[in-house]
Amino acid sequence: MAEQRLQVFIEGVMHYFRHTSDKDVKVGTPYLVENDAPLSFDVTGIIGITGACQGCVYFTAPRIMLRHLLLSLGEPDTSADNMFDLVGEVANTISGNARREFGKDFMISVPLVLEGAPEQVRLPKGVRSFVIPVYWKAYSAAMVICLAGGGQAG
Amino acid sequence: MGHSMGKYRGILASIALFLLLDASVLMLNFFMSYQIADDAVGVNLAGRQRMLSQRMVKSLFELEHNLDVGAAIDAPRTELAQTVTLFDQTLTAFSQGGASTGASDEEVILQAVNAEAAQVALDEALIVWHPYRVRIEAVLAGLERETFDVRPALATAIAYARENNVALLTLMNDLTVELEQVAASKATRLRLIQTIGISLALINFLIILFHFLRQLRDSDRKIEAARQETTEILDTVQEGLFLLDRDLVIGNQHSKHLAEILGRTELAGQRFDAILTSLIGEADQDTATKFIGLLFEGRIKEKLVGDLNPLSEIRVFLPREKGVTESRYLSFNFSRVKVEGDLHHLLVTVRDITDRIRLAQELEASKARGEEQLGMLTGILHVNPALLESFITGTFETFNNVNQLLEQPAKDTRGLRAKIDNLFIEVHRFKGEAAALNLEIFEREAQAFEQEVAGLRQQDNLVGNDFLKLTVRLDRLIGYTHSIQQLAGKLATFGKVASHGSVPALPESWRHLEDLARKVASRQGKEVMLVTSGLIEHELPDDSRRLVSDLCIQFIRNAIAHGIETPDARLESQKSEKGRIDIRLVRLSDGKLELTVTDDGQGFDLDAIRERALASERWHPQEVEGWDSKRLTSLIFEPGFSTKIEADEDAGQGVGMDVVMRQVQSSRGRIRLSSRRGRYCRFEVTLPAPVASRVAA
Repeated sequence: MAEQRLQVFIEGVMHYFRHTSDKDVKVGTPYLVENDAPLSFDVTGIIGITGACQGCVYFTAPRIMLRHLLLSLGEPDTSADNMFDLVGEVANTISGNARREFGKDFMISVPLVLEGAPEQVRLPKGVRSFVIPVYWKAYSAAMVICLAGGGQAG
Repeated sequence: MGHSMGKYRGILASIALFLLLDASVLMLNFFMSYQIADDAVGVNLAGRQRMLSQRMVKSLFELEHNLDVGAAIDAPRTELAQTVTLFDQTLTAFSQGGASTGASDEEVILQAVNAEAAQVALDEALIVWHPYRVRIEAVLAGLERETFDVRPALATAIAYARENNVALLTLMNDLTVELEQVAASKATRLRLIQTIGISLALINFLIILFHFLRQLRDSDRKIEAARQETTEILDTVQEGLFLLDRDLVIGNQHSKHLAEILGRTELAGQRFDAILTSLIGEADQDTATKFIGLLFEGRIKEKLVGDLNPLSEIRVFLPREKGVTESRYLSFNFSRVKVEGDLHHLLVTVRDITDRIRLAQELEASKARGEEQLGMLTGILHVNPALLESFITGTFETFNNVNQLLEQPAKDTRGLRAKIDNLFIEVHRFKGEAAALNLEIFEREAQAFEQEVAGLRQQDNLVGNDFLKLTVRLDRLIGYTHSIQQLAGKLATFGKVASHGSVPALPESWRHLEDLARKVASRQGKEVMLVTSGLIEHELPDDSRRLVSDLCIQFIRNAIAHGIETPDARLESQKSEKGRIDIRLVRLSDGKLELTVTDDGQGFDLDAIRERALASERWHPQEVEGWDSKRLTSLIFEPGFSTKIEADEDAGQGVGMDVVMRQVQSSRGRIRLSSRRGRYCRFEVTLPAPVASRVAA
């Protein structure tokens, strides 16, 4: 069921934020975006997915939120590298959770962190991505899930 | 092994011949050198014969002299006796073969001399020697007797010796010379034989050398050519090919494509099971390894096991750039490689069958799509293509609205609640439109969507995550609508062809209202007549037309569900069995549109409305009691308020009028309602003048 699959990814991102000092993380109402205009903030951590479903899941957040998040994690160094690492860590948590839940039907790649939106190539054409807004303190980030084949169509 | 020996047969024979030649020369050498040694003895003894002949003469003269002077004769006598014996013995031995005494008193065996000249000399010597010996023996015999006078015998012997001594010496010399020649000729022969033998051996050796070198070079060239062929094959073949040993180690050579197929470069000498694990995971790898183990068990029939191959069609995940993995389908085939009956390796063939599998999947999918489309087709066939197209456009607008509603940030419960209400309105409106066009598939989906929303409305602690199911449903609906759109596009072309390109007549774009009225009425067990005026006459832009249509749909639905009574009830109230709904659209002088929908039903039941208001516990009872009729009737526009106890497809969700109100408000229109208990109910909507462009075709 598509909804349960998406839920697993949402759990992953929630799981990460539950480990921060400020546990007040909220998920907004999920909505759809067309893949030709992918949503992104400043830094994006992508995990590729193959297997029963194909596509990718990415976590994208603005720098200001990442800076605040680093500080709240007790990391005074808010350099770009550290921000990248942080986003990579969130993506890792999401993929780890997914790996545990889905088992071997899903092959999940190691996270790739980059600036801005993922290349079009990674997003399957002709389908839409699910955007899960993530609110932490006053900031908004998002997890975007784009799966084709058995994911949404069923 | 027999085959590999054949290659060396020639060289072995050559070497054997070489050795044989060497051995022959050596043996001949031995033999000849023995003969030469024998000959040397012969030459030696022949020389001694010459000496002995002279010593005999000397002894005879010494004997004579001693006898004359009366000296002792023992020494010459003994010497003579010994010399005669030795000469005779040696001569006989030369002539017939036999024993003689050597220079150092050892016994020497001589072969009879067979050289012709020597034979002649010997024969002649024997003829001379016999009388000589007889005379000397007579002397010696005489000397044995004390009293006997040997002088006459001695004189005879000496006389014979004088006469023949030179001849005998000459003969013995001839013999010696002859024997020397024989020995010399043998030595010459031996040298010749040795030279020939060694030359032959040398030639043989050279032959071996050249032949063998050429063979070596030939076989090297063949090996190189074979290696080149193997390389060409391995570089060109599209499949992945390699050998696997019992320890599951990949052989040193493999086809070039193997690296590509398996997505890695270092393969030779690697463990196959480790590679499999990374491709298909631990559990599948285990099964595969067990299967390979079975293949290595020679007693199990290959064909029998072949069917069990778990890798004959397997999905693998290959690492690609930037951490992306790619899913491919591979087919592994295993064949036993037997060398002289022994099973050492498996030949593994790997093919990338992704294209084939994908094609099959696409075929399957397109078949499923075909079936699905057929189902859709039956669902939309009855709708006028132009109308359907307009409906689909509206549908996408609805989806867009729904998605925008979902997208709007709402962090608290109140915001989420408002979102639910708005969602409900959108979906309900959509459902109405679908029902009006009798598009059951959409109606069903909308109904299900609406129920999900209604379920959320009941929920106490709303969080953003609860909306996920709506988003999933929306996504599916969008996908579904896209399919319908494609189908409708095809249908429209058909329609145009069939009707010679003419656009549908105007009334047809409103016929769905009649259909809706009929359908809702039959569901509610009522009878209704729909009377319209002005709908056909006024050409409206698409959006205005859709708005009017939406409003009409909601009003009709509302009128039948709430206003029009059942036929029995109507008869009791002295009304006709059939209820009547009047829809009138007029264009006012200022360009505004006025839509009036009147039904001759029971009008508003204010008491019922008040009861529901109290039961809803949304307001304080005292407040409700104090409300006048205007305030009470306005309740029907409150979200989630309905006087109908049992919700069904047509009413009871409490959204219909709510939707109407929002739509009118959002298009900056106004709405008025009037009612008389038991007589009628009338909605009067005023809409601003439509923008003149985009007039409906």
